[in-house]
Amino acid sequence: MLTLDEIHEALRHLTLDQRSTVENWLDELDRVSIQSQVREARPLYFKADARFMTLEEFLELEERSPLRHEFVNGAIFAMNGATVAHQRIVRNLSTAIDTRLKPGRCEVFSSGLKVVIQRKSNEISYYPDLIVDCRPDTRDTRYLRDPKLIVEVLSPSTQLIDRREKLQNYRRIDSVEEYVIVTQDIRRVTVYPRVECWRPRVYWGIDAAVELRSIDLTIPLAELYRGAEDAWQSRSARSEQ
Amino acid sequence: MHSLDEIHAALKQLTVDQRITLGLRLRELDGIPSLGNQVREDQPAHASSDPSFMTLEEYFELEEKTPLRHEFINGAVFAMAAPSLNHNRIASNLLLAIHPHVKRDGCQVFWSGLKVVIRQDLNEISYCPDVMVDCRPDTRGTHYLREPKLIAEVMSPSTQLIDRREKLQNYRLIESLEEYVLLAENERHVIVYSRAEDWKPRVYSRLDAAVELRSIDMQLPMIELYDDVERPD
Repeated sequence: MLTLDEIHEALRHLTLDQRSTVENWLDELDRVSIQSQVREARPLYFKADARFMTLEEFLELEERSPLRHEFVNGAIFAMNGATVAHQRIVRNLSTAIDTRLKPGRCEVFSSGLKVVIQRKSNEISYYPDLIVDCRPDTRDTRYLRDPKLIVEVLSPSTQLIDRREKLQNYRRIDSVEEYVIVTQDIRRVTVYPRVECWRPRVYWGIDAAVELRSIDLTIPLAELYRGAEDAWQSRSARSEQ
Repeated sequence: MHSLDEIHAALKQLTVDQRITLGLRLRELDGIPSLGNQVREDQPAHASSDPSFMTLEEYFELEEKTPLRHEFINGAVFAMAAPSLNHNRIASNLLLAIHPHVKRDGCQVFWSGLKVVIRQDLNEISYCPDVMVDCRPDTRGTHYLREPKLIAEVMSPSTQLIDRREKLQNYRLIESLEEYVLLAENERHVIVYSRAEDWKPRVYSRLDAAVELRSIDMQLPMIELYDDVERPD
């Protein structure tokens, strides 16, 4: 069997196409292993909330409910709790944007504010990890409709939703210029910009800086991931025990 | 030099952490010239476009070349998980139950991961549902359907959120689609979403229930759908 080093070496000799194939294999293996690692006790498997409701009923429910839910065309889905690394990344990014933004024009919101999408027959409400909004709208103070930038920090149990479903739906918001996905357990940030037809740009590595062109800011990954590495180290220490 | 197959086999032996390291390493390789592919455009250090991003055409070509099946969503491809025994039992129970009936009506049943392609506004999507019924021969490509009447997916724990959220949303875009059926693989549980009922879900879980599929005018006993399936509690 090949060692990790031998695989590394072998990868250097592959074509781009072949490397894509290897990446897909890795994705697939991770999906299987994420399943076996999920910490929650099968939270959503068919015991999901069978309630079916209108958007207005959902908004009223959320005001009363101690749990937060996402709403997708009538169905509601309970949200999972976050990890320490997740919260640190969100806080770092929120602070980084907040201190650099020119005063007055735009505002950063993190954790717990809804974005509502109503388009054609779709009615959707999500809680993004971070939102930059530059069009204050006072019609309904329970949620935002016209954000400029949306960020999701990936968690094992929801990463496919963030990369697949939410990418599709955030694109449907006319005001959204960039959608950003931050990987929680390695330094990797993917930016999907509207002006580039949503073609992803990937930033990684120790001295990289992510460019958020929608708000004209550049943020070093070292700053974004500050403190998050500690949580990774304790995680691998746990898995070695 | 090691073949792709050897690499594939080796990947399975790695721990999660090693795979994460390797994934990172792969991304880094995309930023430097690889020995297998000498010509590369200049790129800023530590930023690159995603190498697995492609057009629908390129995706179809990839699917012909690779042994793994993928789904395609607006440029991104996602490898599909291998089905379990129960998954296969439920899909074949459904297929066998509806096949004679559907044929009599001049329609056809497709399965085994045939693709359905959805194009709407800026969205281009290709999925591989478990079972489809198609009654419009004119709209079939040679490798995919565009206008099925019924789509069924067997849900595994790893796909159930995608089946119930994303796919429901996207299958609804197919104007010909009348019903979308989800069958749980680990317990006796069937959800039917029907256009005629505004996609409001109907749920079946009792052993003595019969699943009503109005699009093909059939009643399917649960006991038949879950025949031979292990531990459907």
